[in-house]
Amino acid sequence: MRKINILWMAAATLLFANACEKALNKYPLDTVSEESYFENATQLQFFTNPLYAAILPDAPYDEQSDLMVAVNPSSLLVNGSYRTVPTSGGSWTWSDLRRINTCLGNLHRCSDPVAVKEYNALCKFFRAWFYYNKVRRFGDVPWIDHELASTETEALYRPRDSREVIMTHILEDLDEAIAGLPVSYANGKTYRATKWAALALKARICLFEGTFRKYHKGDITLWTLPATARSAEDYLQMAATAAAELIDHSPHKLYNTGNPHADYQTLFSEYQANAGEYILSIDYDYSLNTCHDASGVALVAACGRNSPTRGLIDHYLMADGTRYSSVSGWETKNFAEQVANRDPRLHQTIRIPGYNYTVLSNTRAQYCDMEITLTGYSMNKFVMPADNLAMKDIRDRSYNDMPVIRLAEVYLIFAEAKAELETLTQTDLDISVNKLRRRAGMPDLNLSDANAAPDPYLTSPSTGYPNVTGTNQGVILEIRRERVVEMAFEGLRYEDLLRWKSGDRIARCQQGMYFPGTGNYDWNGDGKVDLCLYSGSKPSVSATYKLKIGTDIFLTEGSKGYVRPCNSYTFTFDPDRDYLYPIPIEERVLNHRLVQNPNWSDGLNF
Amino acid sequence: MLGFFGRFNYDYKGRYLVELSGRYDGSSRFATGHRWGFFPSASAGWRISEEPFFKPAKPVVSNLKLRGSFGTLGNQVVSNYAYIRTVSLSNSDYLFGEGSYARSASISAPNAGDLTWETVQQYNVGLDLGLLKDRLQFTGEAYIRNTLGMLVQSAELPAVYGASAPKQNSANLQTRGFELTLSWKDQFNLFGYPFGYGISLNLSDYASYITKYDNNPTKIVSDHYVGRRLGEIWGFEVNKLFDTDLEAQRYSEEVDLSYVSEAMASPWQAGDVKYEDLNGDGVIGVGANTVDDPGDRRILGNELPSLSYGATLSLDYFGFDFSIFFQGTGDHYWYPPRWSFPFWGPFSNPMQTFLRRDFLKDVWDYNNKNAYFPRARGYIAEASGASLNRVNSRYLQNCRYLRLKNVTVGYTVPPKWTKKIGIEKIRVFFTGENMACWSPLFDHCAYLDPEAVAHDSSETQGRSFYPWQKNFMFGIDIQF
Repeated sequence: MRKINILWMAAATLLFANACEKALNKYPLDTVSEESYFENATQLQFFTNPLYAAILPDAPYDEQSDLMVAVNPSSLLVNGSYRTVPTSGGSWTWSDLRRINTCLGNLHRCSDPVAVKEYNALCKFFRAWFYYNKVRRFGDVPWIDHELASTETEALYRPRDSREVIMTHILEDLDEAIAGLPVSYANGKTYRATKWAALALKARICLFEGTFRKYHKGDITLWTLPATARSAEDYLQMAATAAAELIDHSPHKLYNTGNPHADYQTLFSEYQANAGEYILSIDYDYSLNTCHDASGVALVAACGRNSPTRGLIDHYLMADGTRYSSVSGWETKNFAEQVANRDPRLHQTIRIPGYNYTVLSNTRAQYCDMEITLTGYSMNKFVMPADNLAMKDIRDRSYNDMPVIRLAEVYLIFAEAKAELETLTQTDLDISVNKLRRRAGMPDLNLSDANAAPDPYLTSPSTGYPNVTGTNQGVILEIRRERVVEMAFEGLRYEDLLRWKSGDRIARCQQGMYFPGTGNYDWNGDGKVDLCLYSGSKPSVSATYKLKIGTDIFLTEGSKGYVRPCNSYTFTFDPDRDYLYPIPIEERVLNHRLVQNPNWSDGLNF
Repeated sequence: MLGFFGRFNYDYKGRYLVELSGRYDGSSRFATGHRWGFFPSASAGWRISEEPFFKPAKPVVSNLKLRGSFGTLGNQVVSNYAYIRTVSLSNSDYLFGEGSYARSASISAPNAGDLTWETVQQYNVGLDLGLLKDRLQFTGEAYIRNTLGMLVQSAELPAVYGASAPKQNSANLQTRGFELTLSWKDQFNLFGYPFGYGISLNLSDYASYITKYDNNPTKIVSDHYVGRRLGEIWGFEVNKLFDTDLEAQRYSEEVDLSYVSEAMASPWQAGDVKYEDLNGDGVIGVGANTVDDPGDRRILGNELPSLSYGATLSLDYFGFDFSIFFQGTGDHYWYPPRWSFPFWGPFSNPMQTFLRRDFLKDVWDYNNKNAYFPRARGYIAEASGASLNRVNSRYLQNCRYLRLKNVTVGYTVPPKWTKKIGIEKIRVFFTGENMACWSPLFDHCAYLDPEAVAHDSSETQGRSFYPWQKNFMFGIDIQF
């Protein structure tokens, strides 16, 4: 009897314990566990959607360089020897890569082979872009190709891999992306990455790497290339090939309605992205309160006061294709004279005398708005025309779609790569750069003319690119000019300076409009004074702006000369240091194998 | 959560007291195999004053008790489902031309699968003493508290990991402390009326040390390490401002100051802070950022309050009552964060801050060379690598304070009068709270409060917080 009781009790206890254990198995009801996700195309799409916002640049008009300054100058431009190594952050962030690698590592859970192919390609596309950003910034970086566990010390504490290793992986990823991404999407829009976007990215990355290695040749401190590394020419050739494939086979074509004085500007100010020219773009929609700040930056004083410099304006040719630098007295022309009869893209990029902006039936002249501009010049590209939907001259009220990669850039990559390779022909120019010229109503670029007599403005050590040499010197410089003009404010300029080893332009090109001295300036000739510059006591003349020289506005020669934007700052660039960014201090503390980039002092003694 | 609980009590003639108890708890926050924890406790007391042999001493020592205890406690300080990686969906504000927000899925950061209970063990000894008919009372208590398997970030992982480091039960912490209370309470007749008075003093202190930490063998300073005292502040040594431009220029050529020079728009000049190169390597820096090689830093102090004390005096006589309460702490320190606008003023963010009335007398210029703050430069307290942003000895604030916390004066109308009109009691009184405070913190900024700054953890609070209030209250208390 007693035995039975004990058995019963033991059994009851076991059952009870088991029930308790089960009662404690609780799973969340409002989320999905990892094991049951990644099973179909929709789930993969949701998981990769955030990569677009995380990796694509979305405010190209905010980029500061030798051609654009703002009221708070970027530390890249002004901090000089006081640029310090960040403690943490400093773009040494890897969470986006983790998302990509997590997705790649879980693709096997999806049973739909079409989805697997597409999202594998998409992940590779973004991984290539992610690593491209890292290489541009830091040079050598560690390569990580899977979701790391916290116990993987070898990978976590890995030294930096040579940029050649990274570029090799980038190229592999890009080729998978090109092979696996769709050529188009059902809605015909270009908001998601296509095969063509991957090809264009490949062209961009290869041009970057090719020119970077060419112009930084001999700067051995910047990298550790293995002996088997590809040459600059290899990368340039891949850039040209990728661009050519896109030009020959993609359905993309330039936006052109035959109106050279409006097409260029319309392309950028239209609400909906032009799916012909934009290969990859970002969607904005006022009704969903998803807007950007391009018009605000251009029209409102409180949005950063982004101001083009004189260097941008001086790059533009005359409308008849002749050089502005051969116009007599070009360096000291006043605003109205300076912008008259230039490449029609100029007045579609900056505001020139006569420019009016209408907001809610209130039209105002707004071409030299000294409350906004620091240089005298103001941005016009990306500014939306006023409509009844929204006042655009407010922060974050622009909803024109932004280009991320567009066909014009691919044309420029093609021409530049071939010119650098010295394989450029007149036909190459005609199928690329000259299409941009023709849309703008400009005469063609002629290869032999360009090489016969390079523009002294572009070769000069004070205004140009003196390190360009060789038989193609002239045409390379003309293609660079075309890139400046066509791609203005599209976020590529700082990177161009790095790869061309032209960082010193930061220190020598930050100037605005020319003023011969005090006086009343009326640029549109309507008899009203637009700007009155004075010294001494304030004149009684009626003028839109009255500025005191030396107090409200600073000129390079004191009482006359070029406007000095951000007068209290000195624009600097340290060529021995600033072509690469520093690795944050905490990261080096945690991983002593991460060697700091040359000439950055981070307070660590190893 | 499921729990089982048991307790056993024993009391022998009021002299020997024993209590044993135990809990066995299971939590759904932990994975199978790590769910259950057993938490026993025991305590014992010996009332020596009740022993027969103590009788002769009883007239003087009215109460004497010795007690000791050992207790354990379980904390389940993790969120629900912490051991499961989950994918959650949300709307992003990114669009794909579909006329609606894009859906985004995100996966939670990896977690250790073996998360379990944190166990707190506390050893306690105490002595209760009552003398002279309990007029003089003393209580003393000393304790050691071990927190075992404390849940901490597993280690600082390099950023290439790409997610926040998983938490693990991988640290032990030991806290040692004591608390003492002494009070005297008595009453005598003064001019024929009873005069009551009492004094009470208390004093406590503690210190916590990390006794085990698996994840930081190199003893990186910015993480926990074995032997770290909680709250310690590492920083640089700054003893002076440069007297002349020449001194500043020479020093900045001699010593690499770039680690502390962010947001400097012009070279080092007279009136800028002079960072001392403690290790003499010609570079101001953090060395290897380890305990053994901390660069030019040392432990400047500790931010946790030391030696908290309080004192109360109360009197009552002839219907009047009076009490006064002081409270304070010993040395503890605070380095004003970048957004402490009341402290830094325009050294933080000149566009957003205000200039407090008496600020400029403390700012260096050529006519004010003994000033506390350096030459005027914007952002040097705000920018992360700037000279006032790096923790240094010159601007470290001592938050030691003594506060007159409460004063109360009251008068109770004699009940024999009030009862005639059917009222039990009428008392009028005045109470003042936070009437006065003394602290070295006020030397350079009278607008901060030594108790408030410790709570000053968020940026918005720091930018504009309310100082602690003084309260004056007059009242009447009527009981029917």
